Amino acid sequence: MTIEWTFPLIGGALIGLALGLFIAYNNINRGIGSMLENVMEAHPSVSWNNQLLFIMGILVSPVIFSTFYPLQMIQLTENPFIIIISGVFVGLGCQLSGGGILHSMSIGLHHDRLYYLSRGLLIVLFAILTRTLFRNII
Amino acid sequence: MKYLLNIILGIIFGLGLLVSDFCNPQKIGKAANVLNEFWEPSIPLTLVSVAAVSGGLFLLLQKLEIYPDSLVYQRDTEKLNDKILAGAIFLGVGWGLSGFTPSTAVLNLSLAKWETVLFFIFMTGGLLLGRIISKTREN
Repeated sequence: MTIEWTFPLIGGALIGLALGLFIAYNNINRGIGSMLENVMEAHPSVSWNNQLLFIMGILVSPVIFSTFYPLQMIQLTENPFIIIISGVFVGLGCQLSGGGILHSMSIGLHHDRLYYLSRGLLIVLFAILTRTLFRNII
Repeated sequence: MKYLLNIILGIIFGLGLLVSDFCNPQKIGKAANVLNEFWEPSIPLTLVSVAAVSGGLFLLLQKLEIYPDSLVYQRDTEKLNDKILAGAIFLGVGWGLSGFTPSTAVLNLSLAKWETVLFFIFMTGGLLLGRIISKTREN
């Protein structure tokens, strides 16, 4: 099997660079889930508008991408029960742990005590366990 | 100018998700299913690249002495406790089931498929539920 290295590495670099610069420029240590939560609050933090603009940028990015490359059809499971359960779990987990996987990884390598990296690896571990059990055993 | 920069950073972030295909739940499913003979290595590669690039960026900012205050280690609050562990487990299970994280759900919203909209609504519900649980624990 040939491993495609280029696109994952370039894509990851863009994600790390954009989130890292956003955190540094706005002095906000948040992932996308926490930004969404903050934007929806009745009394959001002072920088809520910057977070909203970042989210809007993510929303329009497929339009820009599709002018250069055709967009692949993305297929989420059609089982509404799995969509609902996983949606609640992702939202709940993001709020309780204070960030998602990309936030954990982007802060992970440089931060004291590697707290964020351990959180990120724990998320990955449980995603692997769930998927592997779900597909191969259950 | 600041507003424009934040939108551009959001666009770059979204392009990163699209270029790496991290926003594709089927790819996440293949990467997370380690017993699959067609195991997908691109997702771990993306995560390593995210960590390396932003890690390098923060190291540079530290050397230039423009390190953001928000990233200074908070000894009292930033440690693995039962709340963080429970959150990471919920998030991992949810991600493993659907292949969506908050960022990929936002990006896929623009494709306007009913599955993504349903996921987004219930993810928002999960965020609110998490806040209620956090506030109850504090009181």
